[in-house]
Amino acid sequence: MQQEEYIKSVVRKLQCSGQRKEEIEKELASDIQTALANGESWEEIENRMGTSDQLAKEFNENLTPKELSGRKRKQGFLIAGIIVGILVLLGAGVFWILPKSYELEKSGIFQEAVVLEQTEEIIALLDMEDYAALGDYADEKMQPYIQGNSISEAKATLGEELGENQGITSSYMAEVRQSGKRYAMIQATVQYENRSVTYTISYDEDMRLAGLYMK
Amino acid sequence: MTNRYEQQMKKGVLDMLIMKLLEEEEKYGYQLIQELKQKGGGRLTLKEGTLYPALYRLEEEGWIQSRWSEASDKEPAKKYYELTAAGKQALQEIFSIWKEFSCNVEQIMDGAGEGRC
Repeated sequence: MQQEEYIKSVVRKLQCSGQRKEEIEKELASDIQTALANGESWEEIENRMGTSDQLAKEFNENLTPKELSGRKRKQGFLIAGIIVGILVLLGAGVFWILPKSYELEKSGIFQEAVVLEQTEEIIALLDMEDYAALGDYADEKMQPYIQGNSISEAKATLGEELGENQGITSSYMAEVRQSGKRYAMIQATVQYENRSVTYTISYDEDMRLAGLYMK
Repeated sequence: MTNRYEQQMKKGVLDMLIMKLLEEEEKYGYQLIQELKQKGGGRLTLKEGTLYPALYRLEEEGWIQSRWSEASDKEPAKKYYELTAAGKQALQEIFSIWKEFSCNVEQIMDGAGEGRC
């Protein structure tokens, strides 16, 4: 093995910090150069020092635990750093996925009056059980639920006949952001003749019906 | 087997011997290895993998300090080590311990009984 390759091979196998490795590399190179200048051949020097495996092993056996822990500490920091990095990414991912709500009146996309008006229209269609017309409001994901029996089954869970719609008695609106998308959400309580029903309805950025829940 | 015991005993006196060689003047690694070999009757051969960790240890203690020389056309940069004031004090104490210790060992091995040391 040639001189530079020998030194690099020794240093690679050392179990100390990077800084100490640099020191050892420099000292070995200096010693070898001095030995060559003193008349030793590279073969004689290599025989005297031992193979790169042997020399590295000797270093590792004689370095103090503190020297050796320097590398482990660095490795430990690296591993901890990677774990923290992964947790931050996961956290950011979870944060991005989880819905976050904001005041609708401060929304740059949705208008409270438009959301309320459309909600009243949708509730009227639900009262009339005109699901075909309701489908015109829905986005692609909602279509199967509108066209199928889901809405009628959901209404059936409300129990008895609701009676006449006497109007929205209270409402709460918000903009919800989730996974990079923005929705307008309204929770409107409608008083019927026989009972009240609270509708939670969401719209996408194009004001298409994206979610419907009633209780 | 004898080689293993020789290595163990060598390790026990290594720090003291390195410090002794640095007592009068600063020296670099290769120089220490050569001098130890010559003055030790051939028994005190040392390799870099043992010498340098010992030097780092002694430097950590504050008993020696080091400096790099400038490289020139004629010779490469060298790392010189010298004994500090604390190192000189420590050397005296360690040598004193060694003298008592080696005397006690000889006393036992010779079967000479107590009192010689």
